[in-house]
Amino acid sequence: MGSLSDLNNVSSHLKSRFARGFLRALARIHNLSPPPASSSSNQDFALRKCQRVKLAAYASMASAFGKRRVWSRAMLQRIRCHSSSVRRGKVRQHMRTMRRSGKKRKKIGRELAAKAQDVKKLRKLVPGGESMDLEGLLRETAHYVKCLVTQVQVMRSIADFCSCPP
Amino acid sequence: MESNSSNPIGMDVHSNGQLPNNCFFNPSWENSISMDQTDPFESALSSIVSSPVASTMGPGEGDHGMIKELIGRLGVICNSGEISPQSYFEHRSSNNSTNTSAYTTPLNSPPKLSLSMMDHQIRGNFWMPGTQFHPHSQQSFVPFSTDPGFAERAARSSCFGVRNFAGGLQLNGSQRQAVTAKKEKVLSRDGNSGFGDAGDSREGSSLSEQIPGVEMNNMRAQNDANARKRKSAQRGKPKDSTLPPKDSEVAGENNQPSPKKIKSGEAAENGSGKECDENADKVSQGDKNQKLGKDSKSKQPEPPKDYIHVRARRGQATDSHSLAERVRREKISQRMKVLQDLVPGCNKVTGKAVMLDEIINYVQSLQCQVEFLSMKLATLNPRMDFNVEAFLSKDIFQSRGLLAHSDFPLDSSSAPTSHYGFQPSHGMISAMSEPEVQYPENPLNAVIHRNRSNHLPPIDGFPEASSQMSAMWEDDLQSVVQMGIAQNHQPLSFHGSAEPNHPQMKVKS
Repeated sequence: MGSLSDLNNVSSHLKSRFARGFLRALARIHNLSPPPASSSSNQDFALRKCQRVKLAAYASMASAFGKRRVWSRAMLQRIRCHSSSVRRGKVRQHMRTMRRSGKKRKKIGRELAAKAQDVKKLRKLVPGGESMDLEGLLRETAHYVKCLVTQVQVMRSIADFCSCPP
Repeated sequence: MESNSSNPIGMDVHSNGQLPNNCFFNPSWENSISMDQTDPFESALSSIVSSPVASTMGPGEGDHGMIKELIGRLGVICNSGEISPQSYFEHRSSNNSTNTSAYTTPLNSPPKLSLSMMDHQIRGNFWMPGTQFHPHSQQSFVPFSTDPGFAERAARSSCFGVRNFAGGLQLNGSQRQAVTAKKEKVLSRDGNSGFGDAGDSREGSSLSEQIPGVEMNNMRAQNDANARKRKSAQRGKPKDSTLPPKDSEVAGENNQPSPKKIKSGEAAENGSGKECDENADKVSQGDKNQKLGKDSKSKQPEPPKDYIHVRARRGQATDSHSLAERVRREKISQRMKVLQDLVPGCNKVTGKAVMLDEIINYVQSLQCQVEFLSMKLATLNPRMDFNVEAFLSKDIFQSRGLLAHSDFPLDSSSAPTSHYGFQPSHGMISAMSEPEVQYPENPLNAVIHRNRSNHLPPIDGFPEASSQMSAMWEDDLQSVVQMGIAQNHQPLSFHGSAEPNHPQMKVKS
């Protein structure tokens, strides 16, 4: 299938691109000096650091595709909005911003009427999926899944590399 | 007579060259017609036509006489005195008797044509008879179709005109009945009559009105079909290239409906060449027809059959709605197949609902994995001084082989294991920096156990799980932070604790 082969080609480039960007972001984050010692601030700092790392991961993955994909555009937008706001975000808040973006639209296929709920869930999961018809949504989902897999692989390899140096 | 099966000839009415699929088409058409139209047609028409025709009707016997009678009856039905059975008959007489019978049916068949579903099919069939009649009978409809006056008359008289013409509503019911009774005839006849009437639509409608409205139900559908036909006729006109002049009209009109019929799997009456054009124009026509036939009852419920790419199956609705829906469904099924390949473990799963659930779970798990790994990297990443390029070349290459297929299965297990590995590493790190070695382990162990128990939630509880995990991580982080995280330490025990993760990961991959 053409789309599948495209996805396969994507991963080889995606990994290197994503890894580079991500590592650079990681280096930046880790080079940030921790705040003065205090338990609560340490926790917040650690939390925020995690959030930043996660955002950096998503941002680097989305930027690897730039404007070519709907979900990458939506994700970059989301990240910009999110980063502009206070970095207090918990995971849930981040998800909330994701849900707010995009406008509901479009019909769901008649044959999928029974699975409308699933489709809605999928729309929420995939960035930018709220304003796409089902076919586009499925296409973006496939690409997004591929990128997520790549991202997880790279991050895991990085973590393993860091945790278990050769 | 009434029995649909009694007209094998009619089914055979297909142009030689233009209907390559005649054989294929006929039986299904017959069946479809019978399915839809048996009762109303049979009853109404049988009374009119059955007796004389039935007795005399035969695939090759005395068709002429029958035709005359039928035509006469049709004239009664259609209130059209212009129909001259003789002239009509003359055209046919030269041909096989079978054809004659088929000829007669067209007069009766218009009602059939008005059938919502059958319209397209019949038109295709009819048209072909018009252009080229029954190949077996060697009777070419050409003579028949070449009769301009005949065509016009037929158009007027038959309900076929009704179809084409917005006005002819009443005719549909009666026509249908007549058609069912004489399917084969209708096929041959209607195709010609209807098509020749592109210009006569108005007249036909008036005539059809004269015909007592047997059924008004289908008229709306008929109207839609007629409207479509009209439009198609307009569109079909340019398509008359391959058809003889007389037939061009017919063909033109037929072409328009034929796209639908073609889609319905019928052989394009216009021939393969036209089919391509029609199919190409199908979309445009479909759009137009869509506007016209939005409320058409001809639209049948989407058959739950396999998806034919462009052509609709026989027995399926052929209007633009269903066609577009079909194409759309095909695209969606393609995408689902792609996703099925991506998501591990979905090969055995069939059905969109389950597939969607699986995909959603997979995406959620991947997102959680990203969160977890980011958390891990944020707290764990001690050394950023390595060579990025070397890291990329080596590590990614390795990770591809290791983790290519292990993401999903690892999902539920990796988190705890990673977490397990995560915690001890932190504990170790902190232990290195802190004098108390025992202290960090205990809360960490407790945390690990708690995390383990909490970390295997049901798959559908992922959002809650993620929040739970984040909460757990917060607690863990707090405990770890309190002990003091040393980011640049690589304790020896770190290796020992981290290593178990690797074998596990490798095994799972």
